[in-house]
Amino acid sequence: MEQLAQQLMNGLMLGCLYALIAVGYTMVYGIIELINFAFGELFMFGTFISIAMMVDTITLFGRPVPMPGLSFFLAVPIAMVAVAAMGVTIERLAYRPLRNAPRLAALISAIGMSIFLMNFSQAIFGSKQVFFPDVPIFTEAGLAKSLTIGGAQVTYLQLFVVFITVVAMVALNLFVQRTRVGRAMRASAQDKQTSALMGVNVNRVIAITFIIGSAMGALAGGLYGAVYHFARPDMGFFPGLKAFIAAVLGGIGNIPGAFLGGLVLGMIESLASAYLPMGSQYRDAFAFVILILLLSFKPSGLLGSTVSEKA
Amino acid sequence: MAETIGEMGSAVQSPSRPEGQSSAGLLLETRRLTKTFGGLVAVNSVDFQVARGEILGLIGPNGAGKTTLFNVVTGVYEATSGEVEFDGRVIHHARPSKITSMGIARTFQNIRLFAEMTALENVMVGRHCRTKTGPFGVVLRTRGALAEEREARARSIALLEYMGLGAAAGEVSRNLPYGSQRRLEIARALATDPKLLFLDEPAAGMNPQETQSLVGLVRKIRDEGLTIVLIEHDMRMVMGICDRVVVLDHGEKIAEGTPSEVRSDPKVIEAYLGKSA
Amino acid sequence: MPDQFKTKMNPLAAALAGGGSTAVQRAIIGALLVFAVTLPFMLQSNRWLTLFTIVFIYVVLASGLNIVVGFTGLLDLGYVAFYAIGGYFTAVVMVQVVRNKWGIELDSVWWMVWMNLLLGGVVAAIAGAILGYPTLRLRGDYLAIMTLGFHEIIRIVANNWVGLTRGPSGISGIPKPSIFGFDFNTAFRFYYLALFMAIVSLFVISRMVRSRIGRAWTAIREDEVAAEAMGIHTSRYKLLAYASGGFFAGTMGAFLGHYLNFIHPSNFKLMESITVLSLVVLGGMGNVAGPALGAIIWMTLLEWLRDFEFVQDHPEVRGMLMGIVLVTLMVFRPKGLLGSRRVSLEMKPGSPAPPVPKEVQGG
Ligand SMILES: Nc1ncnc2c1ncn2[C@@H]1O[C@H](COP(=O)(O)OP(=O)(O)OP(=O)(O)O)[C@@H](O)[C@H]1O
Ligand SMILES: [Mg+2]
Repeated sequence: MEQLAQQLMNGLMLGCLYALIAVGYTMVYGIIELINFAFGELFMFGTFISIAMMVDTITLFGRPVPMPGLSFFLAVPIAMVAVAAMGVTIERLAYRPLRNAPRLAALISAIGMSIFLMNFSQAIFGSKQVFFPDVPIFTEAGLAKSLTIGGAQVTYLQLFVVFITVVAMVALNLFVQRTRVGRAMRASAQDKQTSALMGVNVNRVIAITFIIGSAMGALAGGLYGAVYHFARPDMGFFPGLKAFIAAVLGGIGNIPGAFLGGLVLGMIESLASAYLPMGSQYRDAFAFVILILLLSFKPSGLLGSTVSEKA
Repeated sequence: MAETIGEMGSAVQSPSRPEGQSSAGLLLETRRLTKTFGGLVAVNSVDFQVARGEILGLIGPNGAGKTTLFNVVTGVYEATSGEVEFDGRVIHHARPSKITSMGIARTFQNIRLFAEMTALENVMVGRHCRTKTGPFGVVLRTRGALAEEREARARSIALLEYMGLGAAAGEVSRNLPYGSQRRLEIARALATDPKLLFLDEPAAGMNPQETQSLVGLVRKIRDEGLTIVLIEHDMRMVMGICDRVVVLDHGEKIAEGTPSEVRSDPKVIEAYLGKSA
Repeated sequence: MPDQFKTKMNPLAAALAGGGSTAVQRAIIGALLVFAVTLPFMLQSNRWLTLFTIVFIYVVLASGLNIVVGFTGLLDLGYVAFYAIGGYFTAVVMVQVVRNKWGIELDSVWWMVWMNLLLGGVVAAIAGAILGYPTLRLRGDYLAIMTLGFHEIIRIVANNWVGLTRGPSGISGIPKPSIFGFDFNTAFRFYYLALFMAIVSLFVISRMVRSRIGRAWTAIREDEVAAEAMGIHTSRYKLLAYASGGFFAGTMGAFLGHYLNFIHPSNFKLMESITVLSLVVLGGMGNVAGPALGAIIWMTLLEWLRDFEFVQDHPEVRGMLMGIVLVTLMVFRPKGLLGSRRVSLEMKPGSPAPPVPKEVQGG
């Protein structure tokens, strides 16, 4: 029973991280129908840049470089801004020229971008795992900084992750529902051409979508680092794919759906790896099994939105 | 360019119906056919009959559901409810390729050629359902495979010439002028040896001369023994060519009859005027 | 009438439609063959023979994937899974079952190696059709993710089902091919075996493409709804594309096993799938020579880069290059290096337009 509560808590936190990355996938797909494979890598850069901001020196291209050594709470927002800038740049260079090209071309471009970024980060930060510094407020007093909920040991850090995710999701949803830009986004997701005719600057809307998606990915990256204490160039691959699966699970294009999909995926993964035989070895396979089952039986996702070719 | 009757005979395979039996009954019949998109009823309980050998006009204001009716009958969309019977067989659960091989061919309102393939290859794709060489035959190039390929090619070239596209055979279809693309779609559809041909606004975007020669072609195709259903907004063309006209509005059939009957039907006038007013 | 038809076409269109001469094409292919066959006698070191053996494997992989991606337009990111299936198939059968379980001396069943090259392909083809089935209704991008998922599942299984695959330690002791006592045990001999497999594969693929099957695949790529409406059973032809692509990958997987004598999960990393995809994209999708050319240029370049100390220290340079090439190609030359040269989809591209047979004219 306690183990179950513990696993649920772990799943909840993991699900939050997936949900944050899934936001980018779901928003971008909603508007330009492109799987931006690079969000996984932007997440990874989020972790790396957070580290870079928090330490005193870091090795870049094999050379030690002095760094500001900021607090976690300053470093992550900086990483979000930097990664958002990367996100718009990527959109401008690799996707916008292909807006009217066959989807296959844009998709291959996205894969190319993802591969490039993964290897580029290896060139910058090296292939070895980089340690994510402790965040004093969460670690100093050790277990004292945790509480027990329903038998599960819950650290303040975990609560913080869940709290931040909920705040980000609610804010984002309000933004999309209530603001002018948000309305323009929803209009563009409905019908790009008509929106353009109605005076919506679709290029700007798409750029903003990439900014938001990338920043959320970077936020997830910073939190992930704080929880798991490492960064590595290939760390974005699985979380990126799983986040996309979470987005599909919730119904692509649907922000609350991405949140729900992330949570469901995080829980299932956490429970399955704990309770199934050999579960932990196969933990990275569950998401794909879920995807396959989902697309075979309910391709519109849990909260709807259609993905089949016809109609 | 092929103009003679003899050449046409080589191109359009006439269905096995003896001449003069056009009143032998219905070729296609829909019963209470309905298609909805979410809350929108695009085709509403339509009973629609096509007699053998006729040219039937299907008209109606924009958004009336004409194309949707085509899409449901040809299996591109699944009917929400109702039945479709073609040539004595119920077809509304069959997949589009099966329906095509049973003898319904179509063109698309917004031209859907295989853009990167040549005109000839496009038409040869139409022969697909009348050929059967499998992977082994294809790799080994058995005598049967070669003969079949030769036949498909010859028929396709003849059809291109029939549609006045002989000179464009090797052209990538994306590069063809608009009018030629529309005619190529018809050639491709004819290559499937249909009994029934659905044309969705074949004259859209054509100039008057092109439209005129298209009218001639449609008549010729019918005279080969095919049955034709034609969606068209060009009323002069519809009135001049069709034996019968069916009018749709808001998904419902509001009138049918000869062109002159339909032209003077108050409901039809209202549907059109009400739209433009 | 056929004469009139011919004179009205411009020469290029004529060539593409099958009316032109393929003498030039034939000459080029002939010259390449002569070059490939005589090459080993001109090379000093085994290093290049080994390199080209690897290149030939990629030629087949790229050409097989080209059926799926280039001709049928289905973005398969998990193609290397079938390569893995072929490799593990022969490894498990030969080493785990025949030798370890049944205790049979592998030399005495040398013919099984050859059989397994084919069977590996067949098993992978079946896997291709089975794994393809749930993807039939999906549009391109979901397909990409799904195939990626298949790839990862197969790799994870290979890593963890220790009883079958020996997991991360891999399966060693896969026998070298030999035929009636003639052993393929030198780089020189393997070069010819790989060359032979590449030629046969290209021949088969080229024939499949120039036929009603190739036309059906291309029609699906161009417009799936229209293809189905023109009478092509699109599901069946998509499965055929997966199976055909899978077959070549499976064969080469088995070949790899017998070539290296060793199969290991790291032979089948996702990066391999991306590499093969980039070969297809580089040479040009939708034509037979493109991916082969892409494989020859790109793999030679990548292998040659390994000679530089800088690249040895920074293997990521190769990955960055691949990423840049993919993006740049898609943005500036989406049809690849050979893109503008499309392949004729008819059986006899060389023959002039045949006259319309009399009996058809009469009808
Ligand atoms: N795939 C679809 N999804 C949702 N609505 C659709 C779809 N296809 C058609 N509709 C709607 O169904 C109605 C009928 O459309 P349809 O294309 O059949 O009209 P039409 O009579 O062919 O018009 P037009 O003369 O403009 O071609 C329209 O309101 C259209 O918006
Ligand atoms: Mg219409």
